[in-house]
Amino acid sequence: MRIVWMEAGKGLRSPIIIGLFMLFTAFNLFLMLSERHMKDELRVLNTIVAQTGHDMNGEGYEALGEYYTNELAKMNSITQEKIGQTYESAAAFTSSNPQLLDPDRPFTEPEVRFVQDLLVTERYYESLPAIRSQYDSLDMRTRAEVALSIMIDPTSDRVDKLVYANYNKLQDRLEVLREKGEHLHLFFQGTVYKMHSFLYDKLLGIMLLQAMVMGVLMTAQIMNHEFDHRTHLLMYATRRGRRLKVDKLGAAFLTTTLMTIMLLSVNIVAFFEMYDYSGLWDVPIGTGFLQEYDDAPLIPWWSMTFVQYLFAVLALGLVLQWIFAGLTAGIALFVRNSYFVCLLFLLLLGIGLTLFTVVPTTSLLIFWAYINPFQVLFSTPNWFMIKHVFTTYPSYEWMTVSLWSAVLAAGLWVAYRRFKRRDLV
Amino acid sequence: MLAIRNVSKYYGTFCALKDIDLELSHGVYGLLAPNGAGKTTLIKLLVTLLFPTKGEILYNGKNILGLDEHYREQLGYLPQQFGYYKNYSPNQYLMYIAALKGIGKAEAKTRIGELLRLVALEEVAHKKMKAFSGGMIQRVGIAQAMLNDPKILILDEPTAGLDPKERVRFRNLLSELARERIVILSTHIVSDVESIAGEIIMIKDSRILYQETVEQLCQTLEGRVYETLMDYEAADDFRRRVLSLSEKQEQGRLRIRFMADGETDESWQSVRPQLEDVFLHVYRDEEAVTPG
Repeated sequence: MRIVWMEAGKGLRSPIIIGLFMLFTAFNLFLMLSERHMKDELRVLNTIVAQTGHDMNGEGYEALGEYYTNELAKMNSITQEKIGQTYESAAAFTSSNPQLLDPDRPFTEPEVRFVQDLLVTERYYESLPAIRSQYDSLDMRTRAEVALSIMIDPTSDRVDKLVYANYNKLQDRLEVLREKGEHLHLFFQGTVYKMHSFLYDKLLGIMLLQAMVMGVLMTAQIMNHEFDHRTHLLMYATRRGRRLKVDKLGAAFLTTTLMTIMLLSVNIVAFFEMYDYSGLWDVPIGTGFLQEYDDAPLIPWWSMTFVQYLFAVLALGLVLQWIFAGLTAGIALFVRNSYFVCLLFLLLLGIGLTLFTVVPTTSLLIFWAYINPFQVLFSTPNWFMIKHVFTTYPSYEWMTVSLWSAVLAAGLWVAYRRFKRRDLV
Repeated sequence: MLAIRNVSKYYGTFCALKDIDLELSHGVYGLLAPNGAGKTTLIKLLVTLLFPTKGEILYNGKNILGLDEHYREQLGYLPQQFGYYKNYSPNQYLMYIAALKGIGKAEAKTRIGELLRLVALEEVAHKKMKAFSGGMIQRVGIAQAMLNDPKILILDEPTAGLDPKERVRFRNLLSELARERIVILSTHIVSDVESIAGEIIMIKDSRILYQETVEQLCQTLEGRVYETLMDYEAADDFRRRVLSLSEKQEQGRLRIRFMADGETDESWQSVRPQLEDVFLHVYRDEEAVTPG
């Protein structure tokens, strides 16, 4: 283990890695700050949840209605007093009084803020019937038909059959979701704030990409450090010999894990410090509020709370980083130059992302073209959920990482055996 | 004892070493040959960086490849191109190598202190090596080779970069070390091994030409090495008839040391052959001969 830590130090102490880590963290914090204007509105939901809970099935919805009615009454007492009028809704009031903060208007700043908060409450309250009705009429087979019909390249019956079979499974899951009422839980309204894609695409997606860049650089550096510095003749002739590569592989996984955890934890802690999710940790991720575009509900394959989903995403993200480190290490067992190792990894990335473009959509191979870690990496906001027609099936993520891990482990073993018998000149 | 049995090494169709048979026990062995003769290949075979195409290398009767780390833990090796990490201090660098050699932290600390004292680098033990001279780097290399108190010490061109004073100091150090171990010193600089090697191994045309003591090697030229003083004008013609071994100016004339077979002359003075004469004689057709 002493050698593993020493090898890990070569990666972690690298000025490039330290510089990148700081640069990436600064960039991520900047991204987070760029959406900070939503913070106040997001806070309103926590206030509502504190009053009514987030479950809007039955009693929760009634409580929200009662809360909203009371708040509306408060607003009307203010408007009655100040301008001698009452309104049916906060929206009706603000649309007829667009200049609320105008110095000539009689409303104080706290009153205006109260009305703005009520507007947000109203929007949540009024969205619930629409979500209920949308989910009641949802049919996954129709979704599959639409998805297949808008494809540029035609599919074959065999492909369609498999797509329909997968969407039928999603229909089963939808029915369970409806039955449990998972869709009727309050969460930041996706169509307005797009917090799901902000967190899982803009931030986590980019962070995992950043972790991949640093992981690949560190792994290449650790694996080929001796060849890069021409110390290989000395180091591989020591007692440890070529087994040093096993230590290096361990160090590559260790540094990748440490760096990924550090990058994710620093940024995620900062994110949740900035945006208050305190009342929403146990909201089911299948809530209808998650959808960010009209009629594009995000149906998860499993019943998970927000926090469970977050940890599942983080865990999958870490496993992906191990796969990328393993791939880099595998290349480095054949190629001695770190720069070429990184270039070859980039080539693999390119192949992984574009493979589906050369596979005919009439062949079942099109499903396999998506089974690679690079495709998984670039679909973070839809992990464990409905996504592309060829990747919408419950085992997509875990099957991809399991298969690649197994093949990679076998490949690494073969590459190491070959390295052990290779002349080092 | 280290025994090389019928070892050949090919790179594709190119033969680097052919049918090498050697037996090495305690003492200093000078592996003497011009650059490119196969010295480094032989050394890399001995340190398991290369695998023989044919034959085997035995340590105390067992194949070194089978012994694996049990063999390498007996090894101290200084490669010809001795890489180092610029941003490491000798202390950090040696601690890292100590870990690779399986030496415990506490033991390594003591040993590193001793060795840095031995190679006179104690003062700079914590300074980054990027500011070191070639000679200082080479001394760090020698220290790392000695870290595990090896039974077999293999040094490939170890005096490269050392100044004359350091070379003498290094030779003395090696003589001391060689008492209880096998020391293989590969060089193309004759003076590095002449005074300290118990036996000289010479490689030519990918094969072992000699494994003899310095005296035995010199005897092969007994009665064939002469010196004479002549005018410069006569030198060209003379060189065509004999093998010139060395030349120097003396009182406006040329003193030439040479080897001649058969013919003799009264003005020629027979001299005692030296290892350098043997080297120049053996590799007379080779390039890159660098007697020092």
